[in-house]
Amino acid sequence: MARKKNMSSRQIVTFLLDDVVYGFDIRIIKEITPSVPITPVPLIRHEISGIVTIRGLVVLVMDIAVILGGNKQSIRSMAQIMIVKTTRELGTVTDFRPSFDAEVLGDKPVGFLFDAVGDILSVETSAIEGTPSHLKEHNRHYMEGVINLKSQPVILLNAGKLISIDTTVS
Amino acid sequence: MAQNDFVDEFFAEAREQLLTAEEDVLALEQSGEHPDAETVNRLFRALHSIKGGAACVDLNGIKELAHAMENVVGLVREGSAAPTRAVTQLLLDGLDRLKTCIASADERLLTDTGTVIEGLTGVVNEIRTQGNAPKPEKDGTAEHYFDLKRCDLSVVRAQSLHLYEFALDIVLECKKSNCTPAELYQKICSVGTIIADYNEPVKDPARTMPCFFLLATVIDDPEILFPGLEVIPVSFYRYTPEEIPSANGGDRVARAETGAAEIKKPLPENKTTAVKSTSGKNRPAPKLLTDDDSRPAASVAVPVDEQAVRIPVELLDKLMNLVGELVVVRNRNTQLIIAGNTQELSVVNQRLNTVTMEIQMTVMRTRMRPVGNVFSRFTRVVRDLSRTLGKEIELDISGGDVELDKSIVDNIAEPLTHLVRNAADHGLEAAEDRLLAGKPAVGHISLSARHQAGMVNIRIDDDGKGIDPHLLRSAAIEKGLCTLSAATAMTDREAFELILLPGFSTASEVTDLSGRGVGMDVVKTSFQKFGGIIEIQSAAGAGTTISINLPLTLAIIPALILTVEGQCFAIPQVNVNEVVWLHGDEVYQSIHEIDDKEVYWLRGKMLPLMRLSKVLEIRPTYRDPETNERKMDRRKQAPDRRQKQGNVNHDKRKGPRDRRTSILNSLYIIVLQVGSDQFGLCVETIVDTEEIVVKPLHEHLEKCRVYAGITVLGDGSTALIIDVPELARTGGVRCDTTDTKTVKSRSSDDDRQKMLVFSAGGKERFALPLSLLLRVDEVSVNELQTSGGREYLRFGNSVVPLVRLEKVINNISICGDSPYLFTIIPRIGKPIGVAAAEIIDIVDTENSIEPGPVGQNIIIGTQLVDGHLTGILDLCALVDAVEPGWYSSEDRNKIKQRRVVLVEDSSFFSALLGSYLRGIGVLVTVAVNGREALEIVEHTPVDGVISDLEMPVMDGFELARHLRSSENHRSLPLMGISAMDETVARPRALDAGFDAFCSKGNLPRIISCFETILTKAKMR
Repeated sequence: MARKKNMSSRQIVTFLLDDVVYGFDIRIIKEITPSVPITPVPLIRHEISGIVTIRGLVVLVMDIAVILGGNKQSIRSMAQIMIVKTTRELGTVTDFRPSFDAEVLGDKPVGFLFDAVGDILSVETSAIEGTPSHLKEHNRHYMEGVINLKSQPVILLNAGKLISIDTTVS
Repeated sequence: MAQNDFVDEFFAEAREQLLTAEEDVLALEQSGEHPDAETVNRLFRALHSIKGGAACVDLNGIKELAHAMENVVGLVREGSAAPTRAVTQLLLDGLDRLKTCIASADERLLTDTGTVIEGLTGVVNEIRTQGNAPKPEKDGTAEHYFDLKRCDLSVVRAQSLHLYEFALDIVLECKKSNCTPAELYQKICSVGTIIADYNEPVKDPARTMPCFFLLATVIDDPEILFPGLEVIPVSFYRYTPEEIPSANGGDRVARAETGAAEIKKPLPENKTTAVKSTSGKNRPAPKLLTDDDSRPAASVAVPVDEQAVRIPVELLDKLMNLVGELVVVRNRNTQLIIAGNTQELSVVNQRLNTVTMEIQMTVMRTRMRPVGNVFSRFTRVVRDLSRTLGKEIELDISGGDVELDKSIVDNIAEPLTHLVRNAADHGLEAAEDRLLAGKPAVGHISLSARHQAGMVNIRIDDDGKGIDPHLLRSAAIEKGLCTLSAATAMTDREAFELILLPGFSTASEVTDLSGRGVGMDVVKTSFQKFGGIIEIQSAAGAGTTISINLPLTLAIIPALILTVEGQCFAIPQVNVNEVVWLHGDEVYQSIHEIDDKEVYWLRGKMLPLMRLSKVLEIRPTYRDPETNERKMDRRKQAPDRRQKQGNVNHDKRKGPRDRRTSILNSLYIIVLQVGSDQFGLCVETIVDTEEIVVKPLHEHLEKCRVYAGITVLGDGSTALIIDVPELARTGGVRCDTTDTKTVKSRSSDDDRQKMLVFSAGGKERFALPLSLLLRVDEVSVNELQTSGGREYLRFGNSVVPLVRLEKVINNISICGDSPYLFTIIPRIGKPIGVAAAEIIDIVDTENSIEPGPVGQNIIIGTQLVDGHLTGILDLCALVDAVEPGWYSSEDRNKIKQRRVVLVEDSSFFSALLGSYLRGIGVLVTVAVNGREALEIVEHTPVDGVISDLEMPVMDGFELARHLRSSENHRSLPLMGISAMDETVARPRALDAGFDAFCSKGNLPRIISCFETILTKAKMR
């Protein structure tokens, strides 16, 4: 299996959430579901919207909008989820940027809410710029960078950091 | 990348190989001079594969160690070495190191092998120099008889074979093996390819004929090759790969072996031309063992969570079959749906139910592991213990094939080790003391497992000095763990349990007490985590027995499913005592408020309430009448419904349609129990009880301790499982979570039976003992099925006959034409249904009942309940009336014409049980207390006694003790019954001398149990 040391382009899947366009590196995404019923978990922190069962697998659902913007939880009974791979499923991909330790993904699947899925873009690494310095430090932590698209900037997110919110939130 | 897979496979295989290795070494040690050939061979093969495999994946450390061990075992196999303690100790040390490293799949954990390898090679050398073993000479500078360059070595290269050159004295060998040279030649050919051979001309060929062979073979070890051929070569040489000339000078045979540890000249190291890179970087760095010697002698290797398991092939076959059936059912289902044939669908659905259930059970069984997996390590533990303690200890293990869920088996090793250590250390006395006490010098510990009452019972027995309850009591008083009065009041059994209290473990009086108590509370909590219960029994001077009851599986638990504001939750059945249903105006009238908290009076006891929606902070919702959607209740102020006249009048319509008292109101109070405290949980609807699969929580969810797990319900929706003690804490209910057993007072309170009162449609009321009932359901008359003039009702996967009271009791008014019936399913051997028109209440009976109408055996008696005359039904007679012979007729034949004394102070119960006994042909004499019973037994011949435990004047325990101490009645079959908690009552009963104990709730079981002891008595 050939290893690309310096990939010149990456595949980014983009999606819309609360009128903001975000993106994830497609290699960490396991599945994108249609609208599924979501079971809320009372008393849990607001970043967690609830849990969803897909083919017998229980997936924890997190709300990016709440993690970043501290918005109030949106109560939904159905939601579309983007499910991230677990450490095991990610296993063989060793050369990875962002270089978060794949361990962080854990062994239980986690998914993120979104409103609508966009295109899968092929993005040159050179087109990924750093996060603007005037953004909140708290938010910059979760972002890998911003993709400079003509029509709309796409915020490239670091899934690992989002999943492990506990250790980073002050 | 591929390297990783090979390495993983190697470790997985190595783990398998090592499974029996330790046992084998221990067995060898025991067998002494005559080791069992099979055991030795198995051990040898295991070490050999590990060595080979390790070499293939470039794990030289493991390879060297395995090789050294293999050599020694090889000598044992040949018979040149005996497995002495020194040798086996070395092997065990080596095994320990191998296990640690292989279990964690990391070679870096292999440390301190130097000493072991030295020791092992030392042994080998010693044996060799004693001259017994055949010494294949290896001479590095020997002349080579064959010119390799001229030979055709293609097969060697092609198949990576090993090349030997050796010389045999044909005459000698043939004489020894009694074969012809041709046969010898054939034998050599069978292990490889003879590339060349050469006869050296000699003077006297009849006496000696040296012959040289160049042999290419897969056998890499000369110590296997030559003994395998049953020849002793005069000389031999094994070519190293470098010495084998390559065809074009290009390719090299990449081989992984170093040579055998030969004596004279050490072989050059064969460095492998490593094609593959070393292991991947994705593994986190493991912690290295700091100091091997710091490990205590009797350490037990902690198993790493296996990623793969072994499953018996027959289980897989069964699964395959079941899945095949599932497919067939699915196909039929599809056909019927397409054809629109809904009639047959119910039949197919039945089949689907059965198949699914079987698949579920079979898959669950794949998770079961034999307890033997854990037990087997104790041989080693005890062996090491006996060495360090200087005591001779024998360990008996039985019941190793009893199976438990993997998650339990994996985790009971530690607490069990603790208990075994305690038994060896503190329980068993030193040899001299034992001899003085008249016991054999060798101490015995026995470890056993068996199925009992749907649970698995693990016992650790020792014949040591036992525990003195008096010392325990005084120690407990000293430590302030209980008061003087409590201590004197408690029985010996209760005293033993003092050991399990946390305060006890800080004791350092190892000499004063029998020494146990160090960490016993930790052991108790470890077992409690799996729902396990510990019981301690001991006789001073004779020994101690510790008994643990474990559930078969954790993964599936029965739970109560409920909803709150449309969300589903599950509560483990084990915490649920009962469910109270409030409806109509009760919802607001029966719940009272004290100091801002709600309470409910449950049969004279005050129950603190909490509303689940409040505790979980779930916002109230309502159903939008138009869209039928749930929406947030946006009212700012919940209407005050407590007062009859609400001060905020939301409801414009006054009168009977007042929503506050509407009959549509309903609320369930689930009475939960934590420790010895109860509280009530208010929820809107109860869905069902289901057996649910518990799935673990995500890390983030674990933070919220109210949840114990997640489950997927039958309809595919997800429900959170509530952790009841945590719920209590969060809701502000103070609960005592420690499992203290209160000393039971000797009232005959326990004999008051709870009865379910119902009507059959008319004015008459009937009652059945609640303990004998399984469930009450409301069914539609349409659901009943008729066959042969009898009605049946579906219950689970089978059908049960339905009894209508009007058919079996004369002169009562009937159910009428209500479309709905309540059916009461009793908890007797085979279920039946009893039809009821209305369920009235649950009440406690008084002890006095009037005898029932003459000639009517279904009504045992009558009582005034709530001012109404209520007929108490005899369940067994009821069943018999509708299905004669429903109970097997075997019962009747066995206990015919026996005389039995039934000792019972509750006239109601003695009437109930008495009538049943009489119904099967037993002559019953009733006594109301122990003293009366004794008199009866003295004066009339009696075949057996069934006695209640708690009675005035003389209770069952005393009765048993009296009977057992008297000459004539020592072996009289005695059975104890009680409504007390079985776990408390049974040991006490058995202690006092009863042969058996049964809970009052299960009549047929009482009979069968009694019958068993009667038969046993007869055989004596």
